[in-house]
Amino acid sequence: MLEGNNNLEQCLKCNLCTLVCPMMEVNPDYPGPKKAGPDGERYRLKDPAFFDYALKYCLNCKRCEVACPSDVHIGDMIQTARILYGSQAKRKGLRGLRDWTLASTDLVGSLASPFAPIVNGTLKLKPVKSVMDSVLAVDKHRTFPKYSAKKFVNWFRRQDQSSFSKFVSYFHGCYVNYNYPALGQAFVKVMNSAGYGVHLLEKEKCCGVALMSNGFADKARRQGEVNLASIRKAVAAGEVVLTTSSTCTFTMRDEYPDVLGLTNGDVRDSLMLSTKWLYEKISAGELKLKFRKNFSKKVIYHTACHMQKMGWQVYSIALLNLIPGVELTVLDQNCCGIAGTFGFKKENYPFSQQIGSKLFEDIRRSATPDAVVSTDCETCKWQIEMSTGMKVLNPIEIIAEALDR
Amino acid sequence: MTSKEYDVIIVGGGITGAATARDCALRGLSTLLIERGDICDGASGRNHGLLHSGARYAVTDREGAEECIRENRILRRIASNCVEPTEGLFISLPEDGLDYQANFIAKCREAGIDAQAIDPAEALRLEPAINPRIIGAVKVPDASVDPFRLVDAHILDAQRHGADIKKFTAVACLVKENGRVVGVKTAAGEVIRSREVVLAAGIWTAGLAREAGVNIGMMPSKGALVIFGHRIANMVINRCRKPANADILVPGDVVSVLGTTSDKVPIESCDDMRATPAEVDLLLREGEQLVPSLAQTRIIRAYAGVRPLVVADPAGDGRNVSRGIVLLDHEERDGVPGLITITGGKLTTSRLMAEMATDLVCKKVGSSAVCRTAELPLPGSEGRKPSFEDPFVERAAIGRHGTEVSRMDFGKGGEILCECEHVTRAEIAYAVEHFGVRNISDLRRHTRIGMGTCQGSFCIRSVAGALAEILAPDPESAARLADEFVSQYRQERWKGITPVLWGDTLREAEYMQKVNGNEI
Amino acid sequence: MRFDAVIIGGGYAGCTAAGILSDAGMKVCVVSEGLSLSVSGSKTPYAAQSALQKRGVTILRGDRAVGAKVEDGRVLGITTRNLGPGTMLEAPFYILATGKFFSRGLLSDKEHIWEPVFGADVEYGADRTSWFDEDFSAPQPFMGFGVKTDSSARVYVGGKALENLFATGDIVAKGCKEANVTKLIEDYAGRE
Repeated sequence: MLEGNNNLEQCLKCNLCTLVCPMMEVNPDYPGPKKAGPDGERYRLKDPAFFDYALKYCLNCKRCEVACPSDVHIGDMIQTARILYGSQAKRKGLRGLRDWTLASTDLVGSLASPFAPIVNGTLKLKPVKSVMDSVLAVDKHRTFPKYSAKKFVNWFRRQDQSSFSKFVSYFHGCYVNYNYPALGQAFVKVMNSAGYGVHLLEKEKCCGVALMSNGFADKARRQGEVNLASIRKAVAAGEVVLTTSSTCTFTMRDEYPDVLGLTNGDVRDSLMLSTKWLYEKISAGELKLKFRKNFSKKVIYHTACHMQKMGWQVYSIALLNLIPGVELTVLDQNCCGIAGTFGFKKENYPFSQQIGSKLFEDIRRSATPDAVVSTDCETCKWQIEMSTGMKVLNPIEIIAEALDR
Repeated sequence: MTSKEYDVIIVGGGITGAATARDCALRGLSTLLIERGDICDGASGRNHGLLHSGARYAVTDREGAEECIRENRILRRIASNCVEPTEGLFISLPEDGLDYQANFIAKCREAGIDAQAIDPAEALRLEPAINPRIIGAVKVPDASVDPFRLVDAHILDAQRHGADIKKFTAVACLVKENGRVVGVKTAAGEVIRSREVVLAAGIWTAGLAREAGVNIGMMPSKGALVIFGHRIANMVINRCRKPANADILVPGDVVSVLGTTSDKVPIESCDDMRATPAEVDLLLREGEQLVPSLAQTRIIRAYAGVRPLVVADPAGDGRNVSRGIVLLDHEERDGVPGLITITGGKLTTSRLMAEMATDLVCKKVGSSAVCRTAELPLPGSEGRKPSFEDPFVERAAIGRHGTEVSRMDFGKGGEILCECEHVTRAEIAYAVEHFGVRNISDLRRHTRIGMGTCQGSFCIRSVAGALAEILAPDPESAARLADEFVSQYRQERWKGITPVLWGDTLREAEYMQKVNGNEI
Repeated sequence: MRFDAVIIGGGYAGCTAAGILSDAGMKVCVVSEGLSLSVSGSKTPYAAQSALQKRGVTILRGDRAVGAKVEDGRVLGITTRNLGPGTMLEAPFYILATGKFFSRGLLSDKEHIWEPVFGADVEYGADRTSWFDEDFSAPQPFMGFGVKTDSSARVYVGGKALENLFATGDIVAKGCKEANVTKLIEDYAGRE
């Protein structure tokens, strides 16, 4: 057991976590957070042979932790158990390769980007999809996130930031870099118009969330160390490190210490989602954003699971509410079901969609033709776009669009 | 009212009585074990669950130490499912010095106990929870033993070899004819005759013997213990110093047990033993020296048992007390034939005690059968342990019952009712069938139901319902019985919760009160 | 972040207060650590919170108040674990509805019982042996422990009632007054 994580005895067995677990509702094979977490942990401490492979079904959505009145790190406990006892060695062959492929977001991303048109085309082709479905067990219904032809970092290098006197650092994440540079571009636009220049970290690696959930903890830890070293440098230079992905942020702030055992206490408060930073600066009167008068948008906000765990949806919601012309609907918090790479696996696809159905239904009910969905998580974006056909934007993109230039 | 005459009646359903019944049955004697309550209801169910290597006694009691290590090796073999070969550590803190350790190792080796001094750093690597201030550590072959399962296994084997077991039958007195003990009379007035009567009733032995005109000087010594919610260490942790209060922490199944105290108490108090808040405070103060994290670890409950110590010279002042095995041939000692007492000793040496008592019984009844208890495995420990890979078998049940799980129908009763201890409906049905479970406390002793962190606050209603369904003739009386079980259970657990009522235990208590509908 | 009222605790008591206040048009924030057990084994607390959220109540789910800024007998703001030191929740008045031991409105060790957010004065037995009754089904003294309030349900801290901190629900000591939310609306409506 990793240090500082061993709080299973605070569990009073009240089962509130069981009530809110989205996987419990759809999958009878999943023992549920209480049994998989603190109950199972007592037995695993006696003998690791008590490890139950059904723990792979945990989405790591942390809804159990949000519901827990005893502050038990249920999700961390399950993640840690998967890492310690459910080692990858047991999952050899093609599924092992698939998990590795899905987990290595940055490596696969950097291999794919130069060939983006080909890769995207290939990934879309029906025969290719069914090969992936049957051979690699990646579900054929899945739309792979498109790989962008131009990486975000290449675009950024040509942006002149030298005219600014104040700077923030940006952890862009794999998704912005390989799949969706537009979000990174929106971030730069917002920061620049707020009077801040943007620096990238000296070295940025994938935050490691996919590696962790696929059991490659050592690699995740090495990448985490690289990231923390770069973040420390930026913080030492007096810069705050901002992000646009709730999951990367959550991983680096909370999973690094709780699951990987990495110390980040010295920089944790300086690493945050850009919406939190913007809101706090604006309310302290230290920063102003000027919005267009004629802007109008109907926005449906979805709170991503890790966003709720951090409790930071209040910032994104408050910021969106600041934009004149935004008509905001906040949805009930329901898991979209994708849970990162989870929903990409063939065996999980039906669960994934069943879990998300409540959210999709909610979205359909609130949707009008001109509405967009907004969320701070990129995997929620894929899932909602695939499942509802709605366009999904990060709050930062909506802010960027609404800015008065 | 008379019934058939047995070769031997054994009074007391603790480990000593159960082991003696097994030995007698294996030697072909017609055997009856009679117990006033449930099996394992006394001191046998209220101890550390420690299979001594003998190291603890090596310095002060060479003979006791040698007995322990011999029996330790035997029980690992015959009761493999009840024994977890955890091994043990004796740690020295700066205030203990290392002189004691040197002598300790030498004395262990003289007694045939494999005691290996290890580097403190190595000890901390093996058990990161122990006090980092240690200056020395010795590894010994201590182990953890589940006392409930050990007693149960003996009872099952005795039964399977023809012994009769009468539970919930109090012995009112011994029946004497012409100066000879010829049987027992139950509280209900039934006289059961036998050629020999063996008293194995722990601290309650003295009272029965006195009625028959035999004086055994017994001194009840109370030992209080505290249970923590999970495994803090995987080895038995002892303090390497002269035996004292709260210096042993034992991993038992999925909990840890810290103990014990040792206080002389009046014999009248033995029927309602409970740990006090003051004893708990003392145990924690000392225990935190052993393992500092005990201060932050959730305590489930506290309990106490009574050691049946025998005063060698009843007229003496009680200082000459033996913790060793005491076998009394009352024909020789007191001129009362037909009566034997076996007491003293330890859980670890129970098989040997039974062998000694049975040898004497055999001598008296003229049997030449030899003891086989050291060779024959106990039920649950026969052959290979069932595989964990079988998805239709509850793994925790394998830990508790070993090969006996083959008698449980998980296909029909796989549903887990006690979530802390993973007890299924199938295990409950098995316990009712094989141990004559009558109420929910019996069920707890034979399955661990409600013994986990929640102490039944969450699960007890469904457990009580499931048990009542089996026991009651119709749904209406089942509902009544289930309610009775719930209040019985809550009250019984409450006794062990109140001495530790603070922190998370107090939180659980509020929950328990609310779930039970007790509002202010 | 400014609100018309900040409620600490999202169980039955906190949600009820939030409902009444938001019906009166107040902008309310509820800090709710974990689910409440008020209705054991049901999703009622979540359902209540969702309904409140739809009415515009800000619910900080899974968050915990960790600090309070108190000056001259008045609460000026509270900080939470999730929002961190950069965000202060501010309002003209505050309601403490964190419940008893289970929900950790009260914490305890072998000798003491305390209220962790404000360090409010707690009424409890001096000796641990007086906290319980040996009979499980008898009234248990610890079920009556809680924070001390004055006749207007203001919470005592260090022997003095804080001017704008009110308590309601299980956290209030037996025999002490619980906040009258309707009265609070009268007292605070139109202020600010």
